[in-house]
Amino acid sequence: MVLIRLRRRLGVTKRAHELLEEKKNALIIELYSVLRQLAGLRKEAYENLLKAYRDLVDAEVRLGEGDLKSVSLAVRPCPEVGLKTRKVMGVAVPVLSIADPRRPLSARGYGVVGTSPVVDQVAGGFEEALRSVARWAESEAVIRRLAVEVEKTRRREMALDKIIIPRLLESIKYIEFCLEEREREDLFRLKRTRERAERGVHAITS
Amino acid sequence: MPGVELSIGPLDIDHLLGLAAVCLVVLGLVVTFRKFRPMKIVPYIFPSSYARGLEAKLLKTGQIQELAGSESFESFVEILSRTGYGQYLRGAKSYSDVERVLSQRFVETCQSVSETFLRGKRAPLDAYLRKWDIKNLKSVVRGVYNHLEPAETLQMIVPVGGLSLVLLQKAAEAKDRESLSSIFRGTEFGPLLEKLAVEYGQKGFIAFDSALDKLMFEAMDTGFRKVPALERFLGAWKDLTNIQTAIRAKTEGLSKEELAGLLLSGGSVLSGSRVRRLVEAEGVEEILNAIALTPYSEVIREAVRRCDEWKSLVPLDVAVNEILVGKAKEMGAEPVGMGVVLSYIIALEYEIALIKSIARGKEEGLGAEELAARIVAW
Repeated sequence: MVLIRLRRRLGVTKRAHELLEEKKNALIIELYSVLRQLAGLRKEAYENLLKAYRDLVDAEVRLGEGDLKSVSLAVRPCPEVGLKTRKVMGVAVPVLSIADPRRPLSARGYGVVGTSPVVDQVAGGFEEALRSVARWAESEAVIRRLAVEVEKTRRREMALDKIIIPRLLESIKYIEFCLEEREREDLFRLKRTRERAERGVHAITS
Repeated sequence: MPGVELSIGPLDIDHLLGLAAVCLVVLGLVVTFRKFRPMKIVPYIFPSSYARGLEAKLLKTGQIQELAGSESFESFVEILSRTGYGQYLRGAKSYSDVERVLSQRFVETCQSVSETFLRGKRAPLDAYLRKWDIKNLKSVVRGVYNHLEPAETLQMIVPVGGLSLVLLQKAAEAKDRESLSSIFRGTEFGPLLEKLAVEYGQKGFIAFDSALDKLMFEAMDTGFRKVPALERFLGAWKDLTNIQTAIRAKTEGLSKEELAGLLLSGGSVLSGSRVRRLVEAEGVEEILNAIALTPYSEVIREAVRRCDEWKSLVPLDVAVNEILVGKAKEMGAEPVGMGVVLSYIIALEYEIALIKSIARGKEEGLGAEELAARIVAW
């Protein structure tokens, strides 16, 4: 009974091991796919931020701190960043949803005629930077989550492979050995009994 | 015939000649007064002379180059201290200090220029300074709507127009939108503020700003009327504003209807069909075609080329202001008149903007060449 249970358990454990290995491989594929995009997204965000801050300096030089601050107070806040999740191989990864922060001139909130074109430059630059930073942040968060999950899965897989399955195999082997041993003993006992019985019969008949 | 004397009654030849001379002088005076109307310029003689005197104290090219070439912000302040701004600069340690000091100088100078006028004769100057009223009002309203501390809001204003510092301070201290509207109730700004309070959530400040800009140009239309030099300057200003607005609209994706609502009427060169072509243009190249054969065409075309090179609109902003500086100098070419005074005020505005630009550039570590591409000198 125990042997049957153990063999059944071994089968389930081996199947679980296979599934964990598949999960790990799928997670790694997804991780590498996101990693390949990450370098590009990071570069894009960095370049956009650099340009936006350079445009900001140009605007401060052209307009002065006071005027630029006044216009900035008129700019309407960018749309909020929404956070949702999606599942990748059972792992919840974040999805940053942001309405395109790049807005037409009429939606920014400041009057056109009384402002300098450098203001458009700065506003547009930071809107673009926000969009690229949101995409970068999402990728970074996805990579972190996937990496943690890959590590967890790998540890579980290793635990099954190196500890649980070997223990089960050992237990099964031991039980089989014990059962064989018992069988051999039974066989030997039976043989002995038979021999004794034959000797007894022989003694009686002689 | 010798010995014959010419006379008419009791008058002899000498008397007749004298009478003819007097008549000619009187006739000459009448013609002069009717044609040249010198009494019109008499109220501006002193203000013009005063402005010319102040104009001579503006920074020279060498001084500007020295400022732009300074090694650091500290050496910039040290060089500026040796100019007419020196007395205001004691203790200035940062860009904000310099900006505050320059604004103070501008306010004091505008006040002193205003005081040279006889009562009722400085309407065009007041009309021009409306620009600062509009700027100050926008800053105060934005400060209140964004819940800034009054002190922080007041740092953005330059109290040089008709709206007094006391009124602006009161407005900056307004607790909410309703109290801000009540401060300006009964003025031309009252209805605009009430409308803003209703529309702000949907539209932001865009409609409010547009209405204020319209008021500014209307004030100048009225104040500059019948002063040809000023009307020419205002016409050029409107033309340049329209060109810049059209280029921005095409770059930023505004619709034709939205653009049509923003363009100003009354330009010198761009009017009627040319303005329509600006609206209908499908891109920047078509805008440049629409302004072809105007005095602005070559400069704007070159500026647009540099904008593409820089991937920035700074060259366009600089070019427009350089043309405007040229027009303001033309305004000041007459020997006496309001044009001289306004030309000086604009020169001072540009000088102060230039100094602020250099100061900020030095704080950011920009070199002389980088600064030169970003500043507009008088």
